[in-house]
Amino acid sequence: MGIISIEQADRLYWLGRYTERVYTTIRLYATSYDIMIDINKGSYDEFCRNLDIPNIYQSPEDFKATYAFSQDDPNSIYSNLMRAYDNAIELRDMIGSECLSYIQLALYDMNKAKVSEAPLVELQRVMDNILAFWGLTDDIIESESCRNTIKVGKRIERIDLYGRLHLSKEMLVREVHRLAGRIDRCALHYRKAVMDDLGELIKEEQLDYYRIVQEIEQILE
Amino acid sequence: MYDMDLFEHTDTVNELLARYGVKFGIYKNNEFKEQLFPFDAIPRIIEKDEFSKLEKGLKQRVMALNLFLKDIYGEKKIIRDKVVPEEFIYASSGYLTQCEGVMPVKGIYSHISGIDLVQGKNKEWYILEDNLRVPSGASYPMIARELCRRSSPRTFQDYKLEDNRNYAELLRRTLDHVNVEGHTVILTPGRYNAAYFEHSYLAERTGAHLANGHELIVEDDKLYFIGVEGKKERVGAVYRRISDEYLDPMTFCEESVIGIPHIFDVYRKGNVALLNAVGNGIADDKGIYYFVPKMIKYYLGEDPILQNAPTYLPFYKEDMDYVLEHFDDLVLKDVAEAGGYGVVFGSSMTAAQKEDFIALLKKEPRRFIAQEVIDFMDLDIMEKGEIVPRKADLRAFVLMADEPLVWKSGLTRFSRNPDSFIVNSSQGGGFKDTWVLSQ
Amino acid sequence: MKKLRFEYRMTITFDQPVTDHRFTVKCVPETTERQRICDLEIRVLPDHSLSGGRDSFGNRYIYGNSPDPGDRFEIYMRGQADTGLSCMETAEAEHRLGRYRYATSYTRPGESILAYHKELRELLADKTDNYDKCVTIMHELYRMMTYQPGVTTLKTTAEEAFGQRKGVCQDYAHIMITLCHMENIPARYVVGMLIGEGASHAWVEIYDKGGWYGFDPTNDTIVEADHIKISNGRDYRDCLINQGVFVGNAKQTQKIQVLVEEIQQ
Repeated sequence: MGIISIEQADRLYWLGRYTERVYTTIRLYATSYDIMIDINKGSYDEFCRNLDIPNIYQSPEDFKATYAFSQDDPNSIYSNLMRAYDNAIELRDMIGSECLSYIQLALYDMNKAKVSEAPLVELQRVMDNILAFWGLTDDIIESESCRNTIKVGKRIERIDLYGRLHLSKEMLVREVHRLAGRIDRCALHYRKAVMDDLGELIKEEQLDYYRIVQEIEQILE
Repeated sequence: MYDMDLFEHTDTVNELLARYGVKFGIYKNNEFKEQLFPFDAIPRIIEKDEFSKLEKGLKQRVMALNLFLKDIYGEKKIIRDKVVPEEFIYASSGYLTQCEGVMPVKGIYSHISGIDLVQGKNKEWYILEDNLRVPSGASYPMIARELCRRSSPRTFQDYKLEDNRNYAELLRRTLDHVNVEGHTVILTPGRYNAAYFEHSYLAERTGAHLANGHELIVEDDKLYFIGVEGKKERVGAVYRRISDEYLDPMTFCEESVIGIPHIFDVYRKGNVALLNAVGNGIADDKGIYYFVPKMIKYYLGEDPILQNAPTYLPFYKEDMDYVLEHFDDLVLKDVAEAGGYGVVFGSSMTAAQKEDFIALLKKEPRRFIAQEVIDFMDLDIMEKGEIVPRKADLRAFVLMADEPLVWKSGLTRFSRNPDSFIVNSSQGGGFKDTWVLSQ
Repeated sequence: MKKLRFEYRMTITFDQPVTDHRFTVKCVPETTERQRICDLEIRVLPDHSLSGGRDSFGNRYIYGNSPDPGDRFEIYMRGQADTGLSCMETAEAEHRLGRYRYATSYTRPGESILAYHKELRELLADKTDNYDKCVTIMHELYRMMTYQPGVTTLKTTAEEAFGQRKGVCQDYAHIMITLCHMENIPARYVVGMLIGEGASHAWVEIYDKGGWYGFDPTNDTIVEADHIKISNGRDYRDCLINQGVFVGNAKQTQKIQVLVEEIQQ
């Protein structure tokens, strides 16, 4: 009907955020996992610090299993994927069964990764499915504001993560520009002053990552 | 006799069903779980001629049930003429006094009817029960057909059958027919409802908007959907998948948090169509079931084309005598229960259980109906690569738009337990596609 | 025949503001064969959005909502009534009265009423008319019961009230309806106002030969010109004067003031 309720707008936004969180944290996890094979088994401590999550993990093995697959750890990749799924499943009528199916497939692959000897292989499929999901939402969802709401969620999450991880200035500049181009055309109300502040912050020589993260967290009303 | 190509793809079809999240929710030990609905690739096949007889009989039955509902909440001629004793109406929980004198848009009560049938070994079809409130299940064969065609295109080149993927069009036509002026909404109690997949899938396929109760509000005698900008959009038809008692806390269950306050007031004024109408529970009551063939005669002056399973009403003395005499041959059903619960077989009771049951039956005769145990014609299913016979029923769907429309398919459910007659999905059954041959 | 002046005021106060208040108010007395209502004035506050309707018992009601925070809800009504114009109201065809013959959760008999009904049956044995039976039922009920506020609540059933032989008008009416059902007499619950009563009142109407007749078991009288009827239904719940849902964790206090007095001519 071309009209989105407050609840649906909220779901679309969080669907964007959680898919991005899963995608990016799998990439980070894969890098750490590789290091922990033989180079530095204790490197997960730094990982937690960067992401600003509590290091509750007892050992490298515990980290590998719990951070990726625990249903009880609210910061686990699994928990974030479940949240994406919980939002997606209530949006079938807006995003369509085809888009939804990729989130469903990601969840199945996640369950396979959980019991795998080499989980990075299945996690790669989880990422593949998320990429397919993004591609398809862009391709087939007719409503522009519906599409953009997912994308805005994704961009906001990405700026948040990149800020926490102190990624390069070029990467943040690109993401903030991409967000600025969308945020006017989504179903959410945002604080224009915050968007302007972000625009200024990324112009600085030395990025103030702490403030960037702070600002992005409060960009929506 | 079987087209093996399709069966070889059973796993593929089930995988695709999983991919599209074709599931139903159940509560086990107070925990919500989503379960796949196991699909068996051997279809139920109904010949063209046979189906056209079913079609006539189903239309006839649903027309009579609609007239019954209109009469019960209006003139009550069928009570005056003593065709249905009044205690079967007023002592039933399905009768809602709040619906007295309320005329739904265009006088249609049961827009979407799910009529459960079984086929006996004698090839005869029998009506098991009518579902006129919120019958579910059409989405499963609808999507299964799509996926079977994808998995085994050759099969569908060889067989000439009716395409059942038109269900969404039939439903849309039914919704549009009564829409007063505005958007069409499918109202769901939420994703923890057993049939949530169906709610969301039908919304997608019909282009209706899926909504929860708190996304809709009543104002100035009209129903509105509230958009993110606070913009109100008028709603003209609600395909509501929540039951009567939770629909409106101002008229029914006060504690309901999934309903919409005052929606019943707007409905009463004809300012929104509700599908199905409120109060339909009186017509699909197991006690009223006994009277449906009499209704057909009474309202339409026709002989029923489709038969009920032979049923006795212990309320009548001669029926009580028969039931007591033939207790072991009968199945007894509590009229207040649904979903395969409250069903007991006389033959499977111990002496003590039997004694208790008969005492209860004598005390509350209106509460039970007794039926002959039908000698089901079993359907083949595949189990671990072998073909085995199992009990199955058929839920046929009749939609009431500008004319009654019988969907040329249906949900065939089967029991996976070889000893069980109960095919309900909430009790672990599976489903099949139902093919109606087109030539 | 009498000419009465009536005034009704209900105030609900919330101890903290509530939002999205939705309400249905059934407080509109209407002209019937028995009473003529004139100069009726009704005010419902807040009046953000108000509509009217008629329920399945024929009662008029007002419904509406108020999205903004508020800590007060008020109904005010006044008017005049000519009462006692007839001793009965014409009923629908008898085959359509079934709903007034069957129990609701309020009027389902239990052990104490069933036992009492056995005694009562002997007293009714020689009577054929519903009306005469009801006169006896009312007298007996009045004799058995003690009027006592505070021992029952709005949720008390006929059986519970009769079990303790105590209650208020709501309980008297429910018990009488239950006993009528057991005699296969259609009976309904009535809410209205009564001369000299400072609150709303409840009584009963029973069916006999095409008409509804009013009985007031709390006062052991046949309803004539002292009562003004507001609504009727199967039981208390069908005749709720005010119903509401709102968002907020507020406690509410309800105050009702009713004044009915005769206008001397």
